Amino acid sequence: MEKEKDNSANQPNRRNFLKIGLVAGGSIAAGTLAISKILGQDKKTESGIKKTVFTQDGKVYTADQTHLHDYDAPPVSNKEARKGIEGKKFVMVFDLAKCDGCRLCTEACQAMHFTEPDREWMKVYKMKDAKSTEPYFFPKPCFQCDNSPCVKVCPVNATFKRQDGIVLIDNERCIGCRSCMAACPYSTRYFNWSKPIQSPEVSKIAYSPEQGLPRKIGTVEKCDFCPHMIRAGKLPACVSGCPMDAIYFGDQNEDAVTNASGVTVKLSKLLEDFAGYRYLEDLGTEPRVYYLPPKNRKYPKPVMDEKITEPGPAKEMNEMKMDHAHM
Amino acid sequence: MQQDRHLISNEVEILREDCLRPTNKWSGTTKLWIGFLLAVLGWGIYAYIHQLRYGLGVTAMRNYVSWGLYITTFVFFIGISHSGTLVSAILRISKQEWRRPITRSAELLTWVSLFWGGIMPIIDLGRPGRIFNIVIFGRVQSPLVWDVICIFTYFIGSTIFLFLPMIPDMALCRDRLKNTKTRFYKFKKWLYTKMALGWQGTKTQWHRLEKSMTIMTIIIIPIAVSVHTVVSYIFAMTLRTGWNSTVFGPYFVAGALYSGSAGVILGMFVFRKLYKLEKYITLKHFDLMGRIVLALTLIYAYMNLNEYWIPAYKMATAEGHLLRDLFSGSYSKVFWTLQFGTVLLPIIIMSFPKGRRPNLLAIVCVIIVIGAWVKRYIIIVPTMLHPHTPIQHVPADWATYFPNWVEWSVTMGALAGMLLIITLFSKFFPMMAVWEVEEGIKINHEKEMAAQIREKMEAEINLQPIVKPG
Amino acid sequence: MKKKKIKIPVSKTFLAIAACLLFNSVTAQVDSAGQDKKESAVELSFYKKADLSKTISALVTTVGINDKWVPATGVNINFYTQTKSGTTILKTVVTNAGGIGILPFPDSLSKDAQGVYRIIARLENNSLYKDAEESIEFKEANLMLKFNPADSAHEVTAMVTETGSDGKEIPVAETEVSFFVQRLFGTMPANEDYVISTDKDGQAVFSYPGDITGGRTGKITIVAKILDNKLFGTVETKSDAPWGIVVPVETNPFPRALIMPKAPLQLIITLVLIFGGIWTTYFFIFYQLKKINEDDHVKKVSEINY
Repeated sequence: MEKEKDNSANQPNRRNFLKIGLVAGGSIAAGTLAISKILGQDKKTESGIKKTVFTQDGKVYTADQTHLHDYDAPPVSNKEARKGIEGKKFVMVFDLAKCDGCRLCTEACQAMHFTEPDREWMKVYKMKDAKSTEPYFFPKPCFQCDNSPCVKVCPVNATFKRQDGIVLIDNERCIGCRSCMAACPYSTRYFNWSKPIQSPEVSKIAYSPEQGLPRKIGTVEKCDFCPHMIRAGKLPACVSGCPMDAIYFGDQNEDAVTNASGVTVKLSKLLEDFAGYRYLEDLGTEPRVYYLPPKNRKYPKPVMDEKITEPGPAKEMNEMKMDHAHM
Repeated sequence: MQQDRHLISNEVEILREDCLRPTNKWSGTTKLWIGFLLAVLGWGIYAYIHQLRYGLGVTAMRNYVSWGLYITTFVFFIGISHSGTLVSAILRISKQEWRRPITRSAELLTWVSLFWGGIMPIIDLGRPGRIFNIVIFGRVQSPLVWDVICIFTYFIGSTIFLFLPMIPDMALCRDRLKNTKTRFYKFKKWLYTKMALGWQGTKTQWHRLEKSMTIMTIIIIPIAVSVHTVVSYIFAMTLRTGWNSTVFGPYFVAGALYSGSAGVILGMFVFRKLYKLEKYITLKHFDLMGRIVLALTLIYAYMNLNEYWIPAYKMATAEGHLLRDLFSGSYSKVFWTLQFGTVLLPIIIMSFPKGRRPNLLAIVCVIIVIGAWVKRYIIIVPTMLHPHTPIQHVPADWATYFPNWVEWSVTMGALAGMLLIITLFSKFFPMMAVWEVEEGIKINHEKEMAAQIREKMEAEINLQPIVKPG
Repeated sequence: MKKKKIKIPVSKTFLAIAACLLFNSVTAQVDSAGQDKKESAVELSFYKKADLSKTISALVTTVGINDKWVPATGVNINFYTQTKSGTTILKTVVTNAGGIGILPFPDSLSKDAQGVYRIIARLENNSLYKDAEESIEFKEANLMLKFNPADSAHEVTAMVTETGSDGKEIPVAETEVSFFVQRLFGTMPANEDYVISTDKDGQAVFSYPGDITGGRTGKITIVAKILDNKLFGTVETKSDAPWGIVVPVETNPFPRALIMPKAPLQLIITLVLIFGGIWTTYFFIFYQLKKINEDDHVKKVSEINY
């Protein structure tokens, strides 16, 4: 795999070149690089129409509309969105040895979906499984479970499982009961408690569950594996936004997953060679996201006594979490 | 014999007078009380409208604690709704004569708490305007849909169950109503006439009524059990720590019966004092109901023990965090106060006969009812603050929860609404099932008469000396 | 046919940067704001796609925050061709968001006697970035796939040739050809050993493994590439082959289940039985109430009961 120099577009050695300058653990100037990861390398001429995009630290960035993916393409009908893409079963793989916790995947996702900064559909945790094991970075999207508890409890079929494995939300049907949020064991869902902040252009988009825009107050949202990107043959925002090539995405039926550099590998071989596993497997939710353990990791482990937001008195929380899992 | 009949009819007359007096008099205090309740309810409605305008973000709920005070109150109200089933149905079916004076208030409490309990989840919805999606697109695999079906069915059932025994009393009110000059009285006449369903006390009517009541008594028990079971399922069908338990169904039903029966005692206490019904709701009633609450509290304590001791023994990873927080962390004070103050203490007090006297028992029941409400909060909120994945890198107000003014206002408004309906009901309709208590008086007299005749006969035959009970 | 290649090792990069710095030190320009211009670098590559379209792309990077190299967007790159008669400008291209400026291959581009094209890309006269330059020399190669119709071992032969000045195809030996299969988002190496060097006839033979899935029809697209060759750049060709395992169509993607829109029949039947029973009872009682209502014209009984 080290010999791999396959590039699917006109950028030989681009990623390699960029890696020289990237030091592990540091995050690059927000905005530019993150946005550039999801902007198309196509030759479209700019339209001059600017769209508002959020970055993670709350900065507002405007990008020309043509560089953002095709929200203007007619969205799929509700019926099609509920059926999904035939013959595909999407799956994502995270290589924890390569994740350096830079959170650029989060930023790319927030830029793609015009998400408010406090909502992290892709969340990067600092995990510590036990007192004696070492911490690691753990990026978590929605797992699009095959036995998803959230879909089971929805009273109105507003969240549904498609035949391509993706679980979507129909915000024109959601009644905001938040049963799905109670049922999800991975805290993956976010609720629009107040009126969503979105630009006028986003508000005018024709709604489809596949793009989840425009947002509606009192409904639920979550990572959706970017189905509108998949239909355009592009990788989801987080996958292409990862400068470490730590995220792979692909079709399980094809037994192939691709990362940001275009490196495509055989899924079964990847999982076999790197001992792939699923998070909290014994909950039985059958997630569609696999993790490769952080063996021989390329970047330093996270610093665990960094201030994190905790519920309750800080001392108790720290003590409690430090004792056992999930610091 | 004639004398006895005279006695009976006297008693019955006094009974009817006692029962109907509150419906004819609206004192100043009553009006003040109703005014106060209307004010609280109005404020609650205002808070709800505020919530409708700006979204659920005006509450303190955020993405981790996404169910808070509203769902707590919902579960609590549905729990209280088991009161009528217990007292009315179970005591009826086991032919306990002493239930007669308290069935009406118990059934009313059930009906009112079901009504408001059904409203609470609607208040909690993010898009209440789409509520009918449940009917159009409903999925019967969802515990929430089971809630809707069961609560609606129980509501209709408890309406029937409340209404059926009211029919003869409505006829009584209808016939007794004089002074139909004012518009208010004209309205009352119309109301009683309509609700009496043309009741004349004929044999066939009695037959139909009794048959219907027997059927309802039997089927309302499983309906009530199913209601609180499916309410527990909205938690138990998830994989969260503290909720992922197999004993939730019986745990919640035991909690409902325990808090509901305490609610009945409170109703008994209040109406006995207010309407001077000491002749009918006697110390014996409090003693017997107190024993029932004692038994139910013991069962509830047993459920509590199972629910906490079993995971505590194991301290599995995720449950360990939650239990540590409950036993020795930020929720420890509340948790142990609940266990010792609202479960153990009532058991101790009610074990003694003095503890089952009206005043003390009423205090204990207030503790139980408030404790049940706080317990529901302890079941819901700490679990939501201990998800499987850690809470990291989020705004500070996501990582804690305490209800804010909007949630308190709406909840207090709901409570005020409950009390308002009960108050209004008691001003229009008798708070005891008059015909049932009459029936009780007659049965008592018949029993006494039968005992007297037997004594006389035995004395005449002179077989044995009459031994008077010492 | 050389091309200056910037290698991955960091030390060599710094050497290159140092060289640039040295080169630019004489012509160091200070912009109007009085700040030094940023260091920049250009990297060139030639890419011939399967549809025979050709492009030359320049990746422009610059030093960003904390001395990290980031792509430079919106920068003007001037492409020149170098012939015997000198350097002529071809086109000016603006780099896109990824820092890449793409020059479509001009048909009239002149090559020298050996068929070598020489292209220079320059970042110059930019107010933000220091000048940088890169040159590339390459030849055009043809890559074709041949199938043996009688073959059953999923064998394919790739032929690498050059077009001679007389128009004849000259086979090219010892050129590494990589064999891939097209997947949804990229091309996957077909096997562990997927790089085969051409023999003296310019042919590389590869056998595709039998465990590649091929969608509903069992058809896969095989892709052969010459990757980052010193002489030829990147050349690619594709072809369809019916060598994939058929993935059968899911006959019932939404069966009755707890997770699906339609509920399992056992659940529905149980609920209908229970609540059907209860509501039938209710309607029976409503009927009784109706009957009570209608009984009022029966004569009164003279007992003391209401």
